[in-house]
Formats: sequence, structure tokens, C-alpha cells
Amino acid sequence: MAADTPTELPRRFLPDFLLLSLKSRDRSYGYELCQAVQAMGLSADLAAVYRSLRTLQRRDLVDSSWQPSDSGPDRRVYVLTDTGRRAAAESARELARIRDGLTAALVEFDVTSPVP
Amino acid sequence: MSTDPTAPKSQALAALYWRSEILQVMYWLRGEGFGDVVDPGLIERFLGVDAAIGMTYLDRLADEGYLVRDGDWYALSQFGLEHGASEFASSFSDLTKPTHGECSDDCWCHASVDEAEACLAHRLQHGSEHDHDDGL
Repeated sequence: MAADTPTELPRRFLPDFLLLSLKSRDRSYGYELCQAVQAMGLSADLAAVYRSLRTLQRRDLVDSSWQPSDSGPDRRVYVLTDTGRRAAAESARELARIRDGLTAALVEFDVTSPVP
Repeated sequence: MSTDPTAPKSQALAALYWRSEILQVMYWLRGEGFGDVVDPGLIERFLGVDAAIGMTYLDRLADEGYLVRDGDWYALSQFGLEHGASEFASSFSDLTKPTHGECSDDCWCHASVDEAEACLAHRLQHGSEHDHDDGL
């Protein structure tokens, strides 16, 4: 459930979120990807999203092109490459492992209920 | 000179590099609906590591006709717009994708002999290969 004040998505996970977001929607734009993070009750800096997308592209995980528009300026559209799809699958596994580890830790420390 | 491991250390390439970086940010922001006139602080956030160095090129780009200065803010000129998407995709692809591996794949030492010499001097001075602050 989303908190009132969004928790900032740790930067370490931003590339994973971007890969998975792109996998789920085939193609997207920078601001739209930022909003996808916010829809999960988290926040991400658009500048960090921009830089992360460029890094993913340098690593051939993401491809992009300028999409002309009749009603506004050209917009950069991003898609996953085949390598990016495999990386997204690995990101999903990695995030699940982290989730399971954190869940186990919270149970171990008896903090599964919200702290007042 | 720049301490950004990803940025070029030679003057000529540095100017090309920052021109490309700044125009790409402004073009990208424009496409995302942030408007034509951009606060330098916003540009600085998008440039990332060593942005302060890049910011020193804003007025130079205005002088060269790529940007228009409006008080403390900057906008892409028509000339700057014309150097938009296709220009970035073609002209800078070789610079943004170095190919051989004495340093890390992203290092500017692959771009030219001058840059390789500047990079080597930088590494000797700092005693290690470059690292990249890109969140990956």
C-alpha cells in the first residue's frame, strides 16, 4: 500500500525498476517511467531516471529513438532490447530474493506489524 | 579539469562532450513537456557527475547560437533544435560508445590519442581505473 509520503526508491534498484517497467509496457517515455515508480508509492528523481536510462542504453539493455509528434516536440521513446529482456528477468529474480530475505529478517526480528 | 571519469579530459573533446550532453538534456526535457526555457539548476541535476564543469559551457553554447539566454534561464535556439535527435544519434555515437578496452568500456580514452594521453595521466595521478557513478 502506498504511504502518504512516498519513500524514495533506493538508487541501487532504479535500473531494475526501469527494466521491469519497460518489460511490462513494451515502450515508454522518461516521465511515464518516473510516474510508474510513483504509482507504487515510491518516488524517483527524473534526473536519475534520465541518467539511468542512458546507462542502460550504453549497455545495450535499452534502445531509444526520437518519436516525432504533430502536436508537440519530439519525444524520446525507450524499448527493451533482447539483452534487456533477459536482464529484466534476472532483475525480477534478484528483487524477489531480496524481498524474501527482508521478509525473513522482519519475521526474525518480529517487526512484521507496522511500528507505531 | 574534469574529475568525472566518464567525461573527456582534453579541451576539444570536452567542449564537444558538454555541448552534446547539455543539448541532449534540453531536448529531452522539452520532449517530456518541461517547456522550452530551462532553469540552469535543472540542467545541472540531469548532467550528473561533474555537472558543475558542464555548467560553465552554457554561456559558450549561447555564444555559439545553440542556446538563447533569458535572464538566468536558457532555451534551445532554432539552431540548437535543428541539432536535435538525428544529430545526437549519428554524430556522437562513436564518442558515446568507445570500443577498445585499456580502461573501462565507457572511458573517453578510446576517443582519440589526445584523450588517451589525458586519461593515462589522470589514472597515473589517481592510481586506479575509473569508476562510474551511474547507479548500475
